[in-house]
Amino acid sequence: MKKILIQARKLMIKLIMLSFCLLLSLSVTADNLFIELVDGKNVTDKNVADALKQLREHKEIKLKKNLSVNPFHHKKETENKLKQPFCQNCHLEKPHQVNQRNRSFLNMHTNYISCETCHLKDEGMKLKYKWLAYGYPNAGQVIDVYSSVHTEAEKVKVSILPRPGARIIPINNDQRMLVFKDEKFSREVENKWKTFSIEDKARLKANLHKPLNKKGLSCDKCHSENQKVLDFKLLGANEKQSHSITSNKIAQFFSRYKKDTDRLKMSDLLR
Amino acid sequence: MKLISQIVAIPNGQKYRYFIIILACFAILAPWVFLPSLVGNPDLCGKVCVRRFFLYFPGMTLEDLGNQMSVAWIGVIALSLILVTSFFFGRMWCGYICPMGGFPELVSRMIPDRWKIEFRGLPQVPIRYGYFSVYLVLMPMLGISACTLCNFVTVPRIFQAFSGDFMGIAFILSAVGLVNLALLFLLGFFAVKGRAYCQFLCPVGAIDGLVNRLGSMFRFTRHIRVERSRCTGCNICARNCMTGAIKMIDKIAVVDQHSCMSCHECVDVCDWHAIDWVAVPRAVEPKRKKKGADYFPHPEWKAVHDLKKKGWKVSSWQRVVIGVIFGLILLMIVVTQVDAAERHPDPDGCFSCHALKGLEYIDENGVLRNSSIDKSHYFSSLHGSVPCKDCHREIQYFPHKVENGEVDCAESCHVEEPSGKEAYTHKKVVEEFQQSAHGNGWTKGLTGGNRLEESLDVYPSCRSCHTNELFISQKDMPKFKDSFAHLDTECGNCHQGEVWLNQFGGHILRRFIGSRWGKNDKNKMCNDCHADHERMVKVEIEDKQTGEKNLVGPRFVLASDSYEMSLHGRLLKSGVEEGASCIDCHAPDGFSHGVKRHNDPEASTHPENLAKTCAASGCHGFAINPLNIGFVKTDLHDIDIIPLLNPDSPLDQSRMESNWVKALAALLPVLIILGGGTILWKIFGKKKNVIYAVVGGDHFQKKVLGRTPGKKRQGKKTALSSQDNVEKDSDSSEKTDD
Repeated sequence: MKKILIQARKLMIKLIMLSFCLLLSLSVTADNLFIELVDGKNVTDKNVADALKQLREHKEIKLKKNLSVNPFHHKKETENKLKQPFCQNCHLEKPHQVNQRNRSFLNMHTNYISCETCHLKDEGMKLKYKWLAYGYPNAGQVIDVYSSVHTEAEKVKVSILPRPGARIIPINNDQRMLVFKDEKFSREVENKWKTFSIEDKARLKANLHKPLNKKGLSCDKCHSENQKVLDFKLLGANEKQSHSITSNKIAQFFSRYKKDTDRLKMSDLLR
Repeated sequence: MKLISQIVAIPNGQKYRYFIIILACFAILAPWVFLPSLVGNPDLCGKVCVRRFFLYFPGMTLEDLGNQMSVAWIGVIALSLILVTSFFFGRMWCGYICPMGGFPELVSRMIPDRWKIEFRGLPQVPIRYGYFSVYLVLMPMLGISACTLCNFVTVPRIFQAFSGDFMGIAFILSAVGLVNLALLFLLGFFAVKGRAYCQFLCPVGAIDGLVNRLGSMFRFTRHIRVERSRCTGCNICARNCMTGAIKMIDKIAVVDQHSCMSCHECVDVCDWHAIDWVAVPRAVEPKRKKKGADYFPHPEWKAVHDLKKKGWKVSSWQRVVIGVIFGLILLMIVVTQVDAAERHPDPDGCFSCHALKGLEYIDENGVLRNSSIDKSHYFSSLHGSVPCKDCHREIQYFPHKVENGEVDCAESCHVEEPSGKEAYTHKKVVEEFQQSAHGNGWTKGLTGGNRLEESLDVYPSCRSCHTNELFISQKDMPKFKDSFAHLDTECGNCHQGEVWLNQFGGHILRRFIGSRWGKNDKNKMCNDCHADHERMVKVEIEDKQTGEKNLVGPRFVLASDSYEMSLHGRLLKSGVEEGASCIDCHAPDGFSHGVKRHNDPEASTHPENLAKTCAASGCHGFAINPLNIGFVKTDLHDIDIIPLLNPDSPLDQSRMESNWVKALAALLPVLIILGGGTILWKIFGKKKNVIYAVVGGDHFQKKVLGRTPGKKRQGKKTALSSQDNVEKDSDSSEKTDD
């Protein structure tokens, strides 16, 4: 009896929260350009076939937590109280996994760059890039860099990140080109994914990835002197900061490093 | 209605006493455990224990006594308070507060008299102090835990059980719990007046009684005293005395101050105010004095009655026996008394990438791999002076491959040992570890990738216990930094030079600021594996003679649980650092990595080395004394109670070496003497009326009845029939207990 009561109460709370969220998301994402793009019907058969193949070959990885053997070196627990993007319905939090050469570096960038910044095709769109708060409070709001927590003097030492949990997102005509996990569209997709057959899933997958590039922007798209993607001034960086980003040694090395033989021998460096 | 009228009939003084006892039950016992929880204790054990710290173990030194007292320091304070009040006011704690004695008394008073056993006739003082000396000296020597016969455990556990706590139920259902429960029923609930445990077995009561007797020798202390000129010899006080402390000698009430609890009941029932709880009033000059005779004689209020001045010249066998016992104890006691390590600024440039935050990925096994290293943490850590490549030797190129990060802890590194100027290495430790009970674990080939496999392995790797910790805890870091900044001015007066400052100054300063690990931290490390039953069940141990591999038994699997129930474990759990941690016994100095199984002759826990281990680091110094045959045999991993906590755990119940079984063996004679003797007496001894007033041993009978103990054996008439005669003579109002 008690269990039933508790379950009923939980259900009630869920329903109330759900309806509240629905109302909220309806008002926010009435006509989102990103959703229009994703809902586009112009997927080719090849796209669908590829998606189907991927789905069939997919092996799910479950995150193992709390291993009894701790890492030897001190690791700070990453705080994970951020608003989650729509992509994380399927993708892991650290999505880059396959390419051993640069997966860690790419995953590092997910801490301050949204998925869409690199992976969205900018076909015919005039995209601007701005900071968006992923962390609470004010999650989902564009951050005005002039009110960022860092003063000019501090900017010499710290990164251009205006505050923890902020990420650079693409913006088109004052519309953010991304969807969060807790929005209506995301939940619809999630529900579809649960009920659809594998063929329908493949079509859905192809649809969702239609406006996206599988391979994101390469390092030198941002980390080079003549880069044109990001406007660092708009993002709140001063001269010194933007210089240190555009002339980053590691990124430059990665653009040269294609094969194993390109690697640097440590003993050579010491001479 | 009858009940109400019965309650109304209780004398006022007694009503207050019952009320205080009930209040004490609520304040001290479960479910609230209010008073013990003020000092952070869930029960009356550990630091609150009042009845263990004075135990005498053969070969014990004053230092050991100090140890025992510091462990139970609150108990020491409590007992001293009890004794001080007893000296001045009589046994307040025993009679008015103690829920362990008070609760059975109250229950016993609610039970009809005909079901109860009369223990008050037994000779109290010899039994009590005989048992007390056994408890004090013999039981510790034989290794029988003082806790096995403790009502300070039993009564609280009963309350715990009734308040719904599973620990309480589990305790009561265990062997020792059942024995104690039987004692509680026999000597508590079903004893007349319910105080037989206090009379015979309670060590606190025994000490308290001695102090009470001492206090009663002075005129200014408040004790139960008799005014002989008023006593009519009516016997009513003796019949009501719950401890049987009052005897009628020459038709006058005499109080045995060793047993009296100052409960005031005798005062309440005395019609003649012949007995009272008073200090002797100051002698005031009588109003009129004529030729040496007082016209208003003041009451004498005698607490101790020397009927015939025996003095020391008159000897009795009781005095001799008691004297010999205490003399022996005294004799025994008297006889036995006679870095700021060099920091490399990352020569290989590894921190160019690894200092970046958020270098993470999830590998194909689903393990989140974090390659970011906190630079400042690393430089302040134990390996802060070791360049990365000294351990990660395989890495030649960068970016490097994942599998090249492999580490072998037995390799040597570029750090020089200050004493020998040799390259530092963990090789010896690794060899020692491989010879140890844990030896099948990983010591080389440690990479971030095989952390999952290491976690699944039942044997520990180096990393299972060791991470690259800071020299000094984060908490103490500001203090350290502050002191380090002044090091050159403070120590630099004598120790000059950068080398000293860098290599030794910081190192010594760290030792000053405090050690890194507490005992609970160490236990947690062991428990990471040993408390994981699923993992421990898989452990196989090779028999050295036959080479067979056998799965471990429940004793091994449940080692962590049984430890937590031992005094060692519970002390540490309640924050008393004197308790022994796992390492203190299994890996004391010189064994740090070479923990061996107990059947290995080199092990610190091998029966032959155990005494030395117990005596080490100032714990039980007396354990090396050869007289302590029992102490080192105390089973610290007794698993008898565990099946009750985990009903599913498979266990063999047939273990005869259990502590509980020993306790039973020690108890049986006591039970037989007290219970059986009384029952036999009841069946065969008494044909007619019971004389309550006539309590006490041979000495008393000799005094009152004029019967010498020897006569008993001559005639066919039993001693009791002669008691009957006396009863008729003395015009007393005794009734049978029906």
